Amino acid sequence: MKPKSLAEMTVDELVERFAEIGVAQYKAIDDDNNAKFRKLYKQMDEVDHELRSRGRDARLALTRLYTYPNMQVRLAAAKWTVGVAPEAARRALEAIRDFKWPPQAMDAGMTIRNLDNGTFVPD
Amino acid sequence: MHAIANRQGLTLPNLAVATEQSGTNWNDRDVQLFAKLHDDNGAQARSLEKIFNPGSAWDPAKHPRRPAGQSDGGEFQPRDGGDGGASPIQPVADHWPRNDPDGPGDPPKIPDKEPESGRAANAIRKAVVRWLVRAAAVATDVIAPEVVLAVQAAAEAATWVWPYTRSYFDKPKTLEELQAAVQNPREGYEVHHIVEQTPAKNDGFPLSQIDGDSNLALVPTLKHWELTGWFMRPNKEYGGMSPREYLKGKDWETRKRVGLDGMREIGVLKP
Repeated sequence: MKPKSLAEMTVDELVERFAEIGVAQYKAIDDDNNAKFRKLYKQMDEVDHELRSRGRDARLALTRLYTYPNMQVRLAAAKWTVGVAPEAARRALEAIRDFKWPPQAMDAGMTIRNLDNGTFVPD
Repeated sequence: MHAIANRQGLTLPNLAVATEQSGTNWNDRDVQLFAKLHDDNGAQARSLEKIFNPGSAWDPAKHPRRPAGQSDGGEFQPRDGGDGGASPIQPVADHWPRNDPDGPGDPPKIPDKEPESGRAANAIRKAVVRWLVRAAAVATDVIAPEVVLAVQAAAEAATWVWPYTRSYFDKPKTLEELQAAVQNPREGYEVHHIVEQTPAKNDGFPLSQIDGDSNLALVPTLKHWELTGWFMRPNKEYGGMSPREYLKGKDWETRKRVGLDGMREIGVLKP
């Protein structure tokens, strides 16, 4: 059976897809596979674009992933939702940073710095 | 628990503990070895102590828990009529599991003899440290302390692994200390360029500046690799570019600021 295109997926399916990609990113990072990570980053961006095309509530659906049992999924969900849920996303980033789970903790800490110094302008 | 609390200056919560001896007998060395694994969590533990420890600032009326007997019994819940913001922990969404992340996976196998392939040896060193740090972060019902101790003991016994593991748990140092240490290179540590050297060379910065004393620091090898990995990965806050790509064409001070911030966040440089 042909897999669904992103446009054919429900919001819930898109959130699940985002999480799947995040889990694969986690493995790519642990395996030092940057080429794989780059591919997965593009895929995640495509999911984000599809959610954006459906409005703010669709984007907010990603906030469900703040407590997903994989740190890379939590991190990505927080980064991709800073623009629509700034306070909750920041709390999620702070929690990841403070949990000290490598390497996502360092990444979350840098994201918070970049929010504070204006490098990261959420959209 | 006592050993960890003593090391970190915490008051022990009033929790029921086992009254019968079961499982592995721990000696003092085992206890101290395990307690040490949690040192980096001290700041977080002290900030949470005020919320979670009876006898401190924790007030059950302000931070109610779900009733015992339910599947989520004991977990914090929003106050009635409140927005949930007063709870120290946000309610967990129904269809994701508890707030704990997945555990660190199976304990890594550590051969007595260093693999001939440098790549294989480095992969094991990295897996050991990541496993130990992640195991220390999750609850003890996810990973039993005895399992963690066994991995730590195996890492200590493997002389080709231990310097890399031990160095990872170094406390953050001042920049001056890290720069001075460059004169004393040793196993488990690498010389790190605060401003990445190859991109700086490509952008025409002089070698005297790139390799100058002020740009060099001796850091734990495995933290060095984590930091380098972060520089290489595409990142949302840099518009999808990697930090390395983002810094192309930027001035020395901007590169240095990012480099130093990275060292702070990875835990090698004091805040």
